[in-house]
Amino acid sequence: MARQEMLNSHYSYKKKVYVGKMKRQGNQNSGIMAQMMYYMSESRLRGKIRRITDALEADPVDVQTLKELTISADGLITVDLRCKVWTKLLNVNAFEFSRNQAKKKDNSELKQFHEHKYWRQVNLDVDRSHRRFPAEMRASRRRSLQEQLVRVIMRVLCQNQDLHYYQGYHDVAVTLLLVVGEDLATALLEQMSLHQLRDFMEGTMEKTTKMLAFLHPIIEEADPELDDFLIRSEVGQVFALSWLITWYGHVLKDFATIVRLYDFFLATHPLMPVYFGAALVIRRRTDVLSGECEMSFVHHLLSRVPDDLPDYVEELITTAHSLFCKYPPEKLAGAVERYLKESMAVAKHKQFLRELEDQRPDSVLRQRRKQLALYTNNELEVSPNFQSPNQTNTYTKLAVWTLTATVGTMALYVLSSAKRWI
Amino acid sequence: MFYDTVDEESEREVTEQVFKIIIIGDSGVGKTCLAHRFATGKFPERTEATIGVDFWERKLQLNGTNIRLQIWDTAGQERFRKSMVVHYYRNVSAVIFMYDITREGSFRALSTWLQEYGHYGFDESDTGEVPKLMIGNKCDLIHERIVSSNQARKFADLHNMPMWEISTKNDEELETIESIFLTLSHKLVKSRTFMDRPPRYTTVDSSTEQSTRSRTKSGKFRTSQKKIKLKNDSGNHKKKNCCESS
Ligand SMILES: Nc1nc2c(ncn2[C@@H]2O[C@H](COP(=O)(O)OP(=O)(O)OP(=O)(O)O)[C@@H](O)[C@H]2O)c(=O)[nH]1
Ligand SMILES: [Mg+2]
Repeated sequence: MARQEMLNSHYSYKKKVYVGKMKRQGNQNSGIMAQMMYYMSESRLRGKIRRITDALEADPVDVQTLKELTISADGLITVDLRCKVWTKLLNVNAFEFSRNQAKKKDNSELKQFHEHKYWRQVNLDVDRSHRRFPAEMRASRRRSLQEQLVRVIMRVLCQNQDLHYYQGYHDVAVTLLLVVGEDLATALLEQMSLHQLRDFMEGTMEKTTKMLAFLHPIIEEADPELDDFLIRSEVGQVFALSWLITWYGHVLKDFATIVRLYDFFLATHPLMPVYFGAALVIRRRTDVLSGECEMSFVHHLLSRVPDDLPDYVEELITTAHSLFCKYPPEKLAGAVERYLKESMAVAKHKQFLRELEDQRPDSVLRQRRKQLALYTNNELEVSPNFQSPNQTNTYTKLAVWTLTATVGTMALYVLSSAKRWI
Repeated sequence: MFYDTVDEESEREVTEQVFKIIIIGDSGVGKTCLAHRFATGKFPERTEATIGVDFWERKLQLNGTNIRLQIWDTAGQERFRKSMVVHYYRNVSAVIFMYDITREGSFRALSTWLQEYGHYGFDESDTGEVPKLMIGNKCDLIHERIVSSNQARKFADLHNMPMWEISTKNDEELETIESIFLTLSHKLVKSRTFMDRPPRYTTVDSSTEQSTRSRTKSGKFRTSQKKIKLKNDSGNHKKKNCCESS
């Protein structure tokens, strides 16, 4: 019951969207037809969930299949599956890190935070992150989550002194936090920072700039006329900066769409957000070409992501993916070549992919941890997230739940993602 | 979109001048608030960290000339300005250097900002005349003031900038903010008119410096030309154009 409640609150802001969409689409395909499609989609998604679960339980975990399923339409579908699959896609052992967490949250940690050079900036940005939380969330709850958000970020920064914080990093962290809860978010964020986000976290933005510079060559290959226009307008590519470094978390309003994109990017290449950006710009070619060929005009037009993007996010994902296959980074000429040699994110990617192949399913990891606990005795107590579902915070409860339950999610998720598939 | 469609026709006939004004300064000094305040008249209840650059627009009429002010709001974090923001220093009509009167660091950083701006080769020496302004923000936080007006004024004089202390939050200061931009616009229109003449002409009279400063009730410095400017603008006062901040 409590579980149901917290899930409701988690989804309530999505349901609003869903109601709106239902009304609109109800007019188009009314009655029986709509119902039929509803059941067809339901069985399709049910099948997909089963396949994801199977891939998770294979030993070693079937990462390849997980990736395919993550990329394909609807992504990972439920919060529950996201927790599990994101963990596998980032090679995080959910049962290991949880034992290390609880020692913290004491004064020495806080002191360390305060002394960190990015402490002020992190707080400044988190304090201004209201919009990233569901509008109807109680202020007290939001504040508590904002405190967690600061901890998640600061822990990763303190653990990895060579990582530099950038404004926008908090947009990534908040997305993870809202889906998986504080502890798991810390572990996932750390892995992302060492891998996909690595280039953004250098001392300077040099590599980020080079990464962004891929945008034009991609568009040039796919739509030369459009790219020519963009080049003539001298718009550059700064309009896409926040897209890349926040994985669209900073610019999209709809949380369900943001996490869908996170699915996609986690299962693919670090440069995929740029390909997605190219797909988005290409989709808007008529708007662009019919406007003024002038820097401020084009910058303004492109830096704002269309409100109706959630309606065609799956199409954009497909386009981005095929752009990537057709024009892979290695084949794009010019200045971008140098980037490929220098990039840590790209260099690490291959090795990272190999490491992913060798993960044990959660059932084995859980078992292993239990055995370990027999030796180290009371250490099991130290993980509040996994031990006490009565904790005050909903999102940490969510993490407990996601690691233990798989059944019964159907009804709920049907409501929450209906907007996509009716 | 952000062009005022109603006006489009009339603007075709009458020429419109576009000015690009860039606001730079440390993160959190209130750059987004200032841009928002000027473009919409309101203090934004919530802002978010600015990533990259973004601009706001407002149309004005000044002595019969239609002008469009583009206020470019930039990211404050150092890493962004070094690699991205500099790109936007090009072709600006004016630069606003902004600091927070409650944060010493943001004031001290102004020298770096000024240096950088000069370093990238867009200083007066080569582009003719790009007016620089200095603005200290958050004056409503009287008890938290760290940077004294005197100290700031000295610095501003040293760098030949007019200086104002404001609060973007305080509604009563909207007028001050408007007058700053109007004064600036006036200067910009004037110097553009002289553009084709030898540079000496353009540097002779700058409305901002010529005007005598007077202290107002609130203790802020204002230019004496303010009243006239507001009057000139009266017909167009409500014609505001804003772009949502992202
Ligand atoms: N008390 C007070 N607070 C202000 C004032 N102006 C801005 N603030 C607050 O200062 C904070 C930062 O303002 P922003 O406008 O977002 O700062 P910014 O300079 O754009 O920061 P970046 O985008 O990170 O570079 C916000 O929480 C504002 O509410 C002011 O005049 N008085
Ligand atoms: Mg800002």
